[in-house]
Amino acid sequence: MRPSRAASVHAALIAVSMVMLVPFYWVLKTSLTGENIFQYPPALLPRAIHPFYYVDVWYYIPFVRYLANSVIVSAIVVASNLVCNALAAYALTLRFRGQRAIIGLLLSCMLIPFQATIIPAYLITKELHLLNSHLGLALPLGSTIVCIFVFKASFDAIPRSLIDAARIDGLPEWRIIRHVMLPLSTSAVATTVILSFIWSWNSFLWPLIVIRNPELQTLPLGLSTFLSYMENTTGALYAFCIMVLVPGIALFLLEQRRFIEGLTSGATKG
Amino acid sequence: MRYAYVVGALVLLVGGCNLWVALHNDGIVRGRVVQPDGRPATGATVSFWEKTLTTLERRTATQTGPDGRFVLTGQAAHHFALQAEKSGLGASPRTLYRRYFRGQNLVLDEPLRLGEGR
Amino acid sequence: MRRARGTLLIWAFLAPSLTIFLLYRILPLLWNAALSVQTWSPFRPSKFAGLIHYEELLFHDEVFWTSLWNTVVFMSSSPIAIALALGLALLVDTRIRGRGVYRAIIFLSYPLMTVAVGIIWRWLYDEKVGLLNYVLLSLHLTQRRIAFLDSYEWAMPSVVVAAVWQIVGFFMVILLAGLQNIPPNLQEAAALDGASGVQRFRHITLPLLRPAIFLCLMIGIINSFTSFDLIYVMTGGGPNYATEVLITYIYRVAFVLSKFDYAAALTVVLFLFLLVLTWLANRVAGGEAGAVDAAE
Repeated sequence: MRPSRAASVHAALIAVSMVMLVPFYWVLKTSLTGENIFQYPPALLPRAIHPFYYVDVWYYIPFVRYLANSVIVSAIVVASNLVCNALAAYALTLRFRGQRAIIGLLLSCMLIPFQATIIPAYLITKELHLLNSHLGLALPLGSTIVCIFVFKASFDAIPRSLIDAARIDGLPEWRIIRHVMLPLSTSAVATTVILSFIWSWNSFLWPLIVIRNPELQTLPLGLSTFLSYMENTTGALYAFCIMVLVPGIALFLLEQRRFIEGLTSGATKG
Repeated sequence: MRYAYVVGALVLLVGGCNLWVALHNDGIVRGRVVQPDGRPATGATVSFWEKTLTTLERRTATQTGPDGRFVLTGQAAHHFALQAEKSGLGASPRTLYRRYFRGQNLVLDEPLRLGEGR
Repeated sequence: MRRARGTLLIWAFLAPSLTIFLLYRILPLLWNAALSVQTWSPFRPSKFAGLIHYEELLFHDEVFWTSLWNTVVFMSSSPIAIALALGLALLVDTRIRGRGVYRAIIFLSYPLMTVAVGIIWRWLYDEKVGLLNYVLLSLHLTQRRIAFLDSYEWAMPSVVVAAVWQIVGFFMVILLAGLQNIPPNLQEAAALDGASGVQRFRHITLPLLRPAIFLCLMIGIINSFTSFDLIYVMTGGGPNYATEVLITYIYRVAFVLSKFDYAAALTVVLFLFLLVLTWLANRVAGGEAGAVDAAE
């Protein structure tokens, strides 16, 4: 490619990258300096960096509690997704009466967004006495249809000879899943882990509805509660924001390729 | 493998920080008060105000010694204000101070100057 | 005997997932429909009430129509986002060095917590000290500072900009995958035949990208109906319902005003709307736009 063309492509992409990164930079700067919370015009470069807003967040906000709640709920969701989806996908690879009906049912269930079910989901959770509990938070996200189909596509690709050999050896079905199918479907496992983790980590509406007890608030809920108390009168809000974003950004940078692949295959159904 | 390094580094960092904090958190604040003419102010009252996100509350007070120095103990707040006053010489402005962690031992660089506050 | 045990096992394997879907997707759908034709109250038993809620929302509720209109406005931002994403995908698809870095930077905003993104953009839009006002004033594009999130005219566009910012990376990655699926010899053959870049784009690239573009469109449509976090955090429904979309209105009616029956009717309308739009988009796409999970 001609160097002038490469240079202009780079220039355009750098401009776009700035647009994507400037909001993070701005909030990071505000959390470190507290400039332009009240004064105007804002300084473009940080002038006096101090970490004291982070100290504020540490002592005034129960950050560890929120983090623990989020981690617990996400762990339950990821584990539940792995187990339920792998089992269901394996069952769907076998031929049985009603297989096509079940697949059709699942495909049509994909059309129902979570937001269209919040009211009855709340009432059901109340009947099950799971309001204000980690399990109640995790249950609606416990299994996702997309992941079932991702697993199914992966399982379908495994040669039948392997499975038949395992059956002849007398392995029970669940053992087959654990020792034959799953090790050969690492990308499906990774996709399921990533998708279910992101959905449960970022979920805000469901905790907002189900949690009334401040002890059980998750990170997004804690962030929005703090916002409603303090608005933007303190840099501690932005320090909290950065602290909440850091795990997400770190995980994304560590597993970039898998994230992107997982999220796109989640959208395109494998 | 990356995860092991990241998690291991985090654990070390957290452990090291906690150790440092545990060794240095007696909650002592040392400083001195000077009169408007620069001489140390004896017998001035220094009051400690704790600052939360929304309020400022008076907690304790102490007196400066003959060399104008004072020691405040037992207050752990990480965001606080100090004000010194002595009858006849006025008061210092209520200045805010920050600590990196609660109870950090602090030695103030700038003295509290009487007469410049309200 | 063996077959019976095998079938039992299969249904046992399906049971956990099916229970969750039954409990949290199918049953709620039916319950919503049932709830919408009753009068519900936490203190009295429910009574069948016919279509009074639908009548109320269609003829007596201005906020419903406002929120529906706002949802449509939100939805119409999808083509803009897709066009931007297409441009970005074309740029990133060229053989320049470091395109993995660019791709990561542009995609970064999508998997992050929407609540945090909403807070960041709230801060950028701030009337007194926000960065956007500073930039606009410095470039002399306006005379006075604009209250983006507090003014009736600017609130919805501001929210739409933030939403586009967050999703453009996701669209770009999907379109990038679509671009990379186009066999290069098609492009080369056309270039040899003398087709210009623009012609190649219009007649080869775009048609072959149709599935990916319609996938993005479907995702955009579903997003506009389910995007609660961003609006709740940025404006809470906006100055005088300027940014109230259907889902935030449903939340408010159900969990702030505790009118579950009316909210159920609103939810039924939301679901029907979504179904119709998805079906329409699928038909326009020729039926092969790919299924999308609306569970987000």
